[in-house]
Amino acid sequence: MPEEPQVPADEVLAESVQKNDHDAFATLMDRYQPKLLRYGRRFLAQKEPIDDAVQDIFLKMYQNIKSYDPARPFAPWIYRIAHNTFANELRRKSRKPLITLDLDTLSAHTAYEIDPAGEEEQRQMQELINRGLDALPPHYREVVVLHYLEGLGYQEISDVLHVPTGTVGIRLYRARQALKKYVEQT
Amino acid sequence: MSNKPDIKNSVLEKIRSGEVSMRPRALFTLRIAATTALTLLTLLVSVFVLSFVVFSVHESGEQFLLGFGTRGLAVFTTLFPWIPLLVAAGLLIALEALLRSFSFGYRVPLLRIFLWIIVVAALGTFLFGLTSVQTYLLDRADHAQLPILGPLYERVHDSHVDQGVYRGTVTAFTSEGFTISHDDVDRDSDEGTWTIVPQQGFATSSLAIGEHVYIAGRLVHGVVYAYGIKQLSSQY
Repeated sequence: MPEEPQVPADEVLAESVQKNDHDAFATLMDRYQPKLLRYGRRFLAQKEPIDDAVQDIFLKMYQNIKSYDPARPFAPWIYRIAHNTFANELRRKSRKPLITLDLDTLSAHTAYEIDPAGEEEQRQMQELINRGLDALPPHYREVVVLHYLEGLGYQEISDVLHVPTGTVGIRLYRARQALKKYVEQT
Repeated sequence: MSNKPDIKNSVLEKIRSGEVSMRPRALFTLRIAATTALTLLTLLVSVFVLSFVVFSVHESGEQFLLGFGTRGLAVFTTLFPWIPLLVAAGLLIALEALLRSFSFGYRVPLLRIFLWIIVVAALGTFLFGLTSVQTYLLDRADHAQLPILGPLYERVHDSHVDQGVYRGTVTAFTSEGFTISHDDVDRDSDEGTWTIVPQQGFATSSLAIGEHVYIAGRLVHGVVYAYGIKQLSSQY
């Protein structure tokens, strides 16, 4: 029986990019382009194309690839670049800080991960996101996108946003509550 | 996904044309080293400044004002080195921001990390206080041999006549009290000789000629009516 060709992990590809492997870089772009477009569109809550921002993310990724440690997961690293790029975009548009003083980062919160929801709950959450995500404030919108749409865990989101894992948990909890309330009211 | 090839090809084209290139690893290593060095430097400077605040209040005798009643407390708040304290507080806030650029910094809640910073800074201030660095710098300032920080340290041994605070050496006893003189060799306005009338209940006999004293009082026609007198044990 012929063996299936192994798909190289992101971390392996990123290490190859560090050695000037342009094919590996192209593969990484193929993998992350749809994810970053989705993340950007939902986080920025805009319908206009965000190709320029995503292109900017890939250029920064290439320029800074040697700062990446292949022993660590690749996804939080590139999502961190994306977060900074999109947050700048949001700041530029709104002309005010994305978040001034986030009280959620001040004190400790229990970082309990929500159970990997059953199919029914996932479907309900997807429904809530589809109907009310754009109504959430950006810092709540972002954790919802990263967790429910991009599948990142609390620790990974913590590394993307540079906030404690407890803060990720509390933001997700509040975002869910706000989504439910919004959907009930509409 | 019609735009997919455009982004990828556009990025690859920029790389191939040399418009965009990888930054060397050394640059990132250097950046981490610089951030680490800046963090340590910020901690050291904040400890030094905090240590100066504690040293200044203790060495100047200003802590005695706290025992001189509400008037003393009011003068204490005006003489307290608020600016160095605010500088130290600013440095500690900057330190927190610097620490948050490291993963161990942003994974901890703000209040907890700030608490740790306060504990470390307080411990550092205590340990720094055990050394004779501040005394050495003050001595240099008193001999006009301390550039830059000189004016800050010279203030420690000043009298604050305008605030009703006098430092000096007991030179003679009078029928009503005693006289003191202050000369820190810098010929500024805090030098002079004053007649002191102690507050009720103060035993002038507890003083001796040549003793250094710290006095808070009200100057009326060249006579200082004291509401607080303390002997200074240290050299001034």
